[in-house]
Amino acid sequence: MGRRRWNKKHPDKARAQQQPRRPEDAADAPVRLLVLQPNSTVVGFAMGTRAVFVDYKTGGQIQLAGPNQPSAADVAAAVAAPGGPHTGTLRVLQFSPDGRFLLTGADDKVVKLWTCAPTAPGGAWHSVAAWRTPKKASAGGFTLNGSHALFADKFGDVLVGCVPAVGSGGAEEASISEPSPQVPSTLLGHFCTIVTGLASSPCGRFMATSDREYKVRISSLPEDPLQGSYEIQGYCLGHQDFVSCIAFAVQPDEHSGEGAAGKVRPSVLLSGSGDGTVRVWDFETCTQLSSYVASAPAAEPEAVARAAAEEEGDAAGAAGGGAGEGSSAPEELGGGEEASGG
Amino acid sequence: MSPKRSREDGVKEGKPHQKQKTKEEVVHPRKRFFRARAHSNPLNVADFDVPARPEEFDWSEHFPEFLQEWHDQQQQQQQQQQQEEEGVTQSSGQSSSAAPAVRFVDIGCGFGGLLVKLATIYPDTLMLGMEIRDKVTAYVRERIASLRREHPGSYRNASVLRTNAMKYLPNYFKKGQLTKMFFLFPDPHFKTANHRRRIINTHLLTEYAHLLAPGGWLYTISDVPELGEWMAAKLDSHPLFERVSEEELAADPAAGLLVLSSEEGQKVARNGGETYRNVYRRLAAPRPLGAAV
Repeated sequence: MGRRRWNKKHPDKARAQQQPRRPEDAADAPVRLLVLQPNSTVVGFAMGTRAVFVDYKTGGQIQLAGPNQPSAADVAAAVAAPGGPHTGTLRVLQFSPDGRFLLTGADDKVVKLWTCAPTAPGGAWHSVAAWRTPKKASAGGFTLNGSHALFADKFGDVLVGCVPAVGSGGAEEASISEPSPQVPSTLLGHFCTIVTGLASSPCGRFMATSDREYKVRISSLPEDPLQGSYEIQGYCLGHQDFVSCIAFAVQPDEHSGEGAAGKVRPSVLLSGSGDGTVRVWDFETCTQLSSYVASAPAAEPEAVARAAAEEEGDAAGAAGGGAGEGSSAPEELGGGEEASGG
Repeated sequence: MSPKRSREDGVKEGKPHQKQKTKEEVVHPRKRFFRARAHSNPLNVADFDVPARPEEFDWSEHFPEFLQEWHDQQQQQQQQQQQEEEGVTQSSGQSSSAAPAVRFVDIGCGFGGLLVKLATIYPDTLMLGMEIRDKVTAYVRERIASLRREHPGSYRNASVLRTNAMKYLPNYFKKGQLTKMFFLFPDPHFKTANHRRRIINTHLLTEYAHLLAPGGWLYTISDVPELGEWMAAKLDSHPLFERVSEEELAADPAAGLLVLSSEEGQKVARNGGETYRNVYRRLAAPRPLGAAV
């Protein structure tokens, strides 16, 4: 008797024998994402399938409108329901550089774009675009001018979707109905490895992507990303374990009081990895500038369970951790770099 | 005859065995002791060591003579420069030449048929075969070693490496280092869900373009018609590759080897199959793609 037929005949036994789900597949996996909206005072926090946005000056909450809910009153009622805007664990939470759009991606294989028109407290942000990814999304970002949204899935493909031009006035009426997911174009791909981080360079010419095969790749970002990116600037190689997060840091002037006449040090790329180091790279020449040991290397999966019970588990989780911690680290790294460079 | 005198005499009619014993017996490896399955999953986690960066890999265990010669040259030049500084000699300042680097790569070299033919045609170019299967790599290593013993001075420029070329090529080679890449009879991966594992696809072509110097050639051949069309389509739709004309192919010695040099090619010829050859050149700047692409 085949397995499928046996499972049909003995559903209770089949359920008992089912393999336990992996921690990253669990519905309430400890994926924590934290973002700060540029040019605004809103902090976004994602845990599991829920995302919460709080204006830290006024204390008001902003919701993400679910399907077919144009008015704030309906949204408030829907928030009480357990389902959020996404049905899977949120993996991607990124604001565009000008703060006008929010990108969310989850394990339901849908990546959504929300327009963040400034709303009164208790208001809602509406979804203006959605894309269906072939595999779960693992990282996301925007181009420097916010014209395109970039997101990567677990196949290693980096996909690109066009951000629709949304006027500030007509936003309410234009996005009443939930946009249906479209198929995004492909920008570039890492071969069959999960892309863990994605960032656009401050000069706008390059894009950095990191993966679980210890590599950070700098590719040239074309003017029209929908055409695809075919030129690799180089690889920042050196990590001994998976790269969990990357971020660009623009170094401030040494003498900020001199204004335009002051010298600007070139921007650098920072990457954190499971080997416990944070490395600083010059991304145009792909050379390593320095390396800091941030924590103990992330242990083997079998040992993680043992280590988690001990105190070292907390330290290892800070820099290495799981793939879902990618978004939280860049904020700390960016802040730390500016604090140390300024 | 006493044994001593026969050895001193050297050549002896009627005693050919004596003559052969003075020359070392070279035994080539037998394939039957190195049999392995044809397929190895390229997505598996590697159980072999991979260098973190190309600068960290020690090529002297693969090409000892070439690197030794280069070291001696460097030392000579350093001595000359020191003498110049002292004002003794006035030789023209020679810039140090770059270290010899691998230029040709045979991805999925199998039992090494193409590699050994190329090694004699291009004796001054370093070439490397990459193979993911352990036993087959060991066979090629022994084959090259026995050929080096049999023909002293030849085959010093060929070597083999066990690695997963789809994942780890950037770990071994720097940008623009290679001038020829060979993909002979790659795995067709017939199922649509596995098409992304084919070794010629758009994302991997971007990586190969990064490693190939502008003007470098990429050779592919297959006996599966659908795969031949697929590879041609992917290469045509990549802005950094351009098809090489038939006249240039006819003049190129390596292109003529594609069909019959490897063991797989000989098997295809034995079975009377057709082969589909696609050779493309890496352009220096991306060409504009047609609207239909």
